Amino acid sequence: MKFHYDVVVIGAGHAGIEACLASARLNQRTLLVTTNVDRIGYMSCNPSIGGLAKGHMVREIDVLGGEMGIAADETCIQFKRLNANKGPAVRGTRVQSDKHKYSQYMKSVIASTQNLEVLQSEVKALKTQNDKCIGVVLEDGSEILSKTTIITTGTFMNGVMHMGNSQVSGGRVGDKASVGLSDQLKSFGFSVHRLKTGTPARLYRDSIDWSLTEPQEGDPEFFPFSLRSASKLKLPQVKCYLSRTTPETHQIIRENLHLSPMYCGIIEGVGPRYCPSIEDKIVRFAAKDSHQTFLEPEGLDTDLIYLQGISTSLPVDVQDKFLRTIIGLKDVKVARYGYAVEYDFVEPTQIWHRLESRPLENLFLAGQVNGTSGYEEAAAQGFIAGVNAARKNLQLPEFVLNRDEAYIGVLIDDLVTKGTKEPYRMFTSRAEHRLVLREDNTLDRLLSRAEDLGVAGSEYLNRLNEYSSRRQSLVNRLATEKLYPKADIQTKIVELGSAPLLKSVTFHEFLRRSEIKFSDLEKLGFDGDKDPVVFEAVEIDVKYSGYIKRQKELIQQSSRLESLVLPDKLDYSLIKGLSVEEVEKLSRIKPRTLGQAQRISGVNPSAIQAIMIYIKGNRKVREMAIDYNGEIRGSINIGSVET
Amino acid sequence: MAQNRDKDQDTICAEITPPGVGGVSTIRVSGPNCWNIVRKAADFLPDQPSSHQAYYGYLSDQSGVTIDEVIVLYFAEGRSFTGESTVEISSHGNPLIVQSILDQLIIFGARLATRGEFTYRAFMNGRIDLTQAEAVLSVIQANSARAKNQALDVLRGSLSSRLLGIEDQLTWSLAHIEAGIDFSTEGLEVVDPMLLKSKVLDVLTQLNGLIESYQASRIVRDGLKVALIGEPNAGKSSLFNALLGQDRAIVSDIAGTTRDFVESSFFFGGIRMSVFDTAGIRESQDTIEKMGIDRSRQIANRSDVNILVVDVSSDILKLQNVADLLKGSKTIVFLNKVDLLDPTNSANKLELLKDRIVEELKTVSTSDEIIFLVGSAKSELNLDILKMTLLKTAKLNSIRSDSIIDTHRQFENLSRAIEYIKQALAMLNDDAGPELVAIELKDALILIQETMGKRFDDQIMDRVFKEFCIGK
Repeated sequence: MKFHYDVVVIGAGHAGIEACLASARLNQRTLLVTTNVDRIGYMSCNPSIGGLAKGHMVREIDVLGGEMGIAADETCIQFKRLNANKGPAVRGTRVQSDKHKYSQYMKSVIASTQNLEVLQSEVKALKTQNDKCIGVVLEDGSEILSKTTIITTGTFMNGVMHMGNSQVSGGRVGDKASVGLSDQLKSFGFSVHRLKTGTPARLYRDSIDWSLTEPQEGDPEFFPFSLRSASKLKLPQVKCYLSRTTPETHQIIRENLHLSPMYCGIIEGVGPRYCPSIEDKIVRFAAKDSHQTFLEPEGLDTDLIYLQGISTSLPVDVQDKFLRTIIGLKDVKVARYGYAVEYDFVEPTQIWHRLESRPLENLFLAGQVNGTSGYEEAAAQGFIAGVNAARKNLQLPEFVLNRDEAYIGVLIDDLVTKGTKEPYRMFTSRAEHRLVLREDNTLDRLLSRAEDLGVAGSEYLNRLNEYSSRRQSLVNRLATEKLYPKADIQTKIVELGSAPLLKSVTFHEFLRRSEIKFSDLEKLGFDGDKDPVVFEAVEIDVKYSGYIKRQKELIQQSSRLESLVLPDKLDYSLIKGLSVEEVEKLSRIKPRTLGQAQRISGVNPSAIQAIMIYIKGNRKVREMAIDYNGEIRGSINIGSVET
Repeated sequence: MAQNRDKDQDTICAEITPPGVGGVSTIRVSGPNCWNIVRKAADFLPDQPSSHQAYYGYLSDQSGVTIDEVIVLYFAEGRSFTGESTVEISSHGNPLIVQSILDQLIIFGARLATRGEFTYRAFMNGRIDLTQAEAVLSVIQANSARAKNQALDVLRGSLSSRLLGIEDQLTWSLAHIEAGIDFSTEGLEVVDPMLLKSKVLDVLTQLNGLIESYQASRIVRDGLKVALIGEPNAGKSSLFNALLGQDRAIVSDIAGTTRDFVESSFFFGGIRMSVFDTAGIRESQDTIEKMGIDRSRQIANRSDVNILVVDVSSDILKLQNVADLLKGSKTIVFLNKVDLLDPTNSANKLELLKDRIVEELKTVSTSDEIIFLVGSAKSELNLDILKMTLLKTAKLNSIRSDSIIDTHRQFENLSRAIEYIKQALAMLNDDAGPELVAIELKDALILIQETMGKRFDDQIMDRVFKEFCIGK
């Protein structure tokens, strides 16, 4: 067959961008198809990148060679480290970006990337042959053949926008929905369900009484997502403003709940529990008479203000009414009202870890279409899908990150193992090995993976390697250089508020004292690397070392189960001891390893034991089959796995 | 697909009563074909059995020769111990009969059950959890009535329900800590730190209660270890014989007769009491006697209760060597040979003696009050009071029958969980990072779940099931 392209990517949102860039950077002839080239990399909702657990994924994408991190750095208009007062493992970087400039940046990167073309058109259907996807059919009926195809359509599949009783087809204001694709997917055996998400109103800057709100500055110090970015900010920084809803706001919303499409039954899709609409918040936290909201500028050259936390799908007149009861918004002018979007997503348990679909070979899915929410979750999947589509064409083994390596690994494993009933958002608590998956040590975790992958250019890899070896040499020096209990040293230690030494210790041991910071070591004669990119991760490793050791032991333990591979074609109905529900779930999800099987909800430990015995087959069986006289009964033959 | 005869799908059989000659022996047959297999040897059985119904008749071999008169009990799938359809055949208790029945069952398509396989199937079929599986073992091995009752309680799931409560509280605490981390920017008040602390503290209290009950539970299961300690010729061996109601130890007037310890046990109040008669403590040049005294020291260290036997008729009392042995253990002072005292001034003499003993023992840090009992081994005076006191010392009254942990595995897990909880509490008090508190609580939670068998660990399962014998 003569293919026009190696990879076709449908959709140019945050997943689509990472997918097409990764594939093109792996020398695949790649085509990006979008219904609107002006909306490439558009931020449909909040104007920020990162956040708790999300910032982790942005850094991971960056080290592996993706684009999101550097784009956010370049267009940053406010920088913040969230949870700065909590431990380093649960801190998260958040960058508020100039929305327009972010999109511009992505467009120019795409335009300058080799092997990558962009086409404005709508994909009406997939072209298939023998349960394989071989390309796409466009709105004008023309066909484009490709070795692999990636769907990253976000909220656009059968998208419907709701505002009160009004329903308009579309994936986002100003963009039409894509109709037909999900019906075709259903016909190939995909199960497709509905989800809902929403966005708040955009307000005009001049109509807000800022004096009643509380200004919120960004952090004074900037730590970019990407180690490619300059450590200086490129754009002027802006403030956000904190305001609150009032009892009147709640009163109005409560009285008009019946007009909300979520509450009067028009929307069937499940909304995100973790990013609830203001209607949801008022119903669920009935006791609270006020909720906070941040007024966030959408960019430097725009008058639009994003009203964080107040997404709604109430009718326009109700929105007008309740918005005016929020502090500072008495005379507000609304540029665009809030609305909800209902859309089709594909049940992600039908997707392999490499993000290739099971029903249709050579078809990959990434982003919101897999049931996630958030730009970062989308970008992470887009990157992995782009890489694996390329690797499949190149006949290279799949690229899968483990749960103990990266949040991206946690994200995808959760999706394909547990599926999702609501838009899936990443949290630090979803990572069981949280202390080893930090923002600061992303480089240490993923550098060798990035090198194997080859998406990041050699220039960036060299820079990462340089940082890595500087960290390593600092680690070595801390472990070997010693601090002796001499009089002048003891005095200085006491001045630092710490107890004098009883005997000589290494600087590593000394730094473990909770009151001692890395920067204190200089006063004690340790001339270490002063670049925070180098010392911060090392310092945190030292501070956390006891806990990190414990987590590593747990990882070691779980790797026993993770290394027991389950054959794809294993017939679970033959294993005695599994409930009907367990057989159904295991057959549907087809876990790669016994470790993954254990994470499927509703599969009990006894089932894992049964599978293990079955798989381990004869050795285990003979052990179990000792008869009265302690002799081995050789005739019993159980547990041979037929594949 | 020919090789797919799964082990757990076939029908297994084994004798479930102890092997040997007895009144009645019972064979259990478990698996989907059990009824059909048994029917081949028992034509009196109906086509469709009713669950929990007994059938009486004669069992015969494949050539039609009668093997024995039997009672056949049927348990339907889901209503039996293993969870599978099960038949129990009770025959006369003769190994030859049992062997021929098993032979027939095997000829008709069953196979012999392996070590622990019935319990294993019960576990696999979700009939029991891991603590219950362990309890099955304890019920079988119980060596006293109380131990059996205790194991039965666990089998009924009482430990599991306690652990479920603890698990629930830990999960609640963790969920709130995690929400505090992941939703810190949303402006919601997630958890009141005081409430969180009190929840975690409550978990600690409950776990401590379970651990304390283990100490008592160990006594219930393994018996109470009682050592008789004292000077030579104080009458330890006489007391030993009197407690046991038999002449086990050699008794003579010669001091130092008992060179090595002697152990035996008796039952009282449903508890097994293992009594150790030890060599009397004195300064000695005799190598063998010195070795015996050394043994006495070891035994005193390891026992649950020490009885200091004192000869009240003797005028010389040298307790300084003895006192050292009683360090840190529960001590009952038995004032022996009280019948040899002159009744006219005995009360006075006893009071003086008590004061002296209290004074002598003051140097060793026995935290508890010393219990004094007056009596005589020879004339069996007040021996019942001594036995009652032993029971009380074992703190049996404080055991809650529903709060028992039963095996060392459970004890180990819960003790480790306590360490993590304590650490978490200390950190909560210090306002340490919530992500670290979460690690401590999560590790505790993992241990609780492992104890219940809610978390899969192949090594633990292997360990538990290897302790079973065939047919259980």
